[in-house]
Amino acid sequence: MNNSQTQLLNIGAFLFVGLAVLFMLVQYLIGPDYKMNNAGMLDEAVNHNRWVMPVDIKNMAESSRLQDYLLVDLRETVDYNHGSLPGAINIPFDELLEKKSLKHFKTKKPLLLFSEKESRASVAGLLLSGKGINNVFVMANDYNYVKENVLENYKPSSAYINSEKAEYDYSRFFKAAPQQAVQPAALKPKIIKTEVISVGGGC
Amino acid sequence: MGPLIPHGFINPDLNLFFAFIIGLGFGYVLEQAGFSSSRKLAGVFYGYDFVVLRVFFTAAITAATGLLLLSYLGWLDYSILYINPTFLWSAIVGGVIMGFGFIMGGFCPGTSLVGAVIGKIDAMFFVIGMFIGIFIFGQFYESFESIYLGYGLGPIFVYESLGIDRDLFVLILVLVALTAFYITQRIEDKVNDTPINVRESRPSYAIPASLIILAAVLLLVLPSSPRNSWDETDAETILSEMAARKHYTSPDEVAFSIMQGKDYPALLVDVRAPEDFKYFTLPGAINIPLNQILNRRWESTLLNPEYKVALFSYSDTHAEEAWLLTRRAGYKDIKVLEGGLNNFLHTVFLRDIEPERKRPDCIEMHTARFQKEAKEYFKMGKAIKKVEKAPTPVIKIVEIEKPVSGGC
Repeated sequence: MNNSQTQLLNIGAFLFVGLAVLFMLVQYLIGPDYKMNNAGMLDEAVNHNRWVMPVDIKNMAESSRLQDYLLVDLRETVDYNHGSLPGAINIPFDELLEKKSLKHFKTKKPLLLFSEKESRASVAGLLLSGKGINNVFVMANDYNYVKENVLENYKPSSAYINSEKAEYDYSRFFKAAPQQAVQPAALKPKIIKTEVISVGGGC
Repeated sequence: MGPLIPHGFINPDLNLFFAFIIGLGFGYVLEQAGFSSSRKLAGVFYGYDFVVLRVFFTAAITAATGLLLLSYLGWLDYSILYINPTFLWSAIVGGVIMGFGFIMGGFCPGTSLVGAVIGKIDAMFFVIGMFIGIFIFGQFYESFESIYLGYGLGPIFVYESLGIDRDLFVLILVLVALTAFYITQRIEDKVNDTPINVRESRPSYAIPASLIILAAVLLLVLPSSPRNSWDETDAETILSEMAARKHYTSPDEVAFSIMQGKDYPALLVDVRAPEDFKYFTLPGAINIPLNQILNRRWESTLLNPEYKVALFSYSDTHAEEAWLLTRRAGYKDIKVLEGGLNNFLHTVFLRDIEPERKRPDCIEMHTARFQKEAKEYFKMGKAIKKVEKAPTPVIKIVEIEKPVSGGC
């Protein structure tokens, strides 16, 4: 191999590695600003115990440990003004990621989010985790439920209630022919085509 | 294109075409490296030519760093790469047979084809012998089977057996390979008595060597997966879409799609746990538990433009979490059943469907009529019949044939 060929190859190698690094940088820069990747957020949603159940709220309210949390009310300001948990700050859901809101979260206290709907508090918590805020907890159930059934008039039956529970006896409503609907066999994926990829080994 | 480039940019039907192109390139490189000559191949055993070692180690380290870099960039899905499972017995026996073949013929399977193509007669005989071997193996496969599949270890990785980090192993491999290149060059010079002036006029390989070390170090320094990816949706957009409640679909809409599946096709996705799904679900729904929602297996199902996708769970909490994750991953046009199953049941069965006002307008009357119809429909159990006609996800099974010949 002569020298000009070597030079050409060197330039090629430089270009390749340089382009790879450039692409990495560009992808990083045009990508949205997250501190946690999507798999991390899924893990946070599924595996981490970020829920504060009614029974915990009750115990904490009694021993006034609720103030160890930064309570964040995600409802509209109007609702907040009508009354909220003691010591809670108000950040409406749509202003969650604004700069002035994020400033509030720079605290050593763990956050406890609640809203007029459990799902809103939950997704707000996930978004904050994605943005790199640690120690985000979410209150199970909506604010009204917690206020009426936990703080004002605690019912032991509601100790571990959250929104993701069946409210009705579903089988009762679909008595007519329930079994087919239940059987997953009928819903098995249809297989249309079998493709064979052959893998040649070695050289 | 197998694992290369996610998001289906390349049609899987082109797989064979790309395999053909890669095969051509592979043959060309083998030819150019001089592997069509059995003298060159045998040189590694006598010490006068180590080009075999250099070519294959270069291939290994280039492929390793390239694969990891591309998978880091998100252009290649490392998790669906096919890793040849290791069968210890067949590896040992096959290795011995191939070693004998190598000594006798001076070729290994791949290079014999290259040699045959450029017209070497010994290589052609080698290829004929190889096919006879394949034929015998195929005919007597059943008697060989216990050896062939003996001591299967599954797909194993060197770094896992050694118990070290993957990226660290790649760096070590690169360093070992580069050292080996240097040492074998020295051995070659000594065996061949290369004159000094030839030795000095040799081009320097400092630049490619340092570049590949740089790439390996880069892989070691970077986190195992990037925190973001260019095709994701940013948090602010997701938040504003959620605040505007754009992602909801109403129970009426879902009821309509169940009743009029043909005109208004929808795929209902139940994100609850499989136990709950078995107990009860909406007619025609499929089950993708929340923890599997980002699984590539479901990507084409969720992105199919032929129907609308609606996620649901008991309430909206898990469905909206699933929506958030898929939205961030760049999926569009997925909806969430507002209020989930609880709200659906309440709306369809339990609510009072008389119009609120005494003199309803046209739309309100139509809505009320539809709601009445829906109530009857579900009460009569008609919905159940829909199960067979419901959209079922279509999965293409890709089987990977076991390779017949091992490495060279």
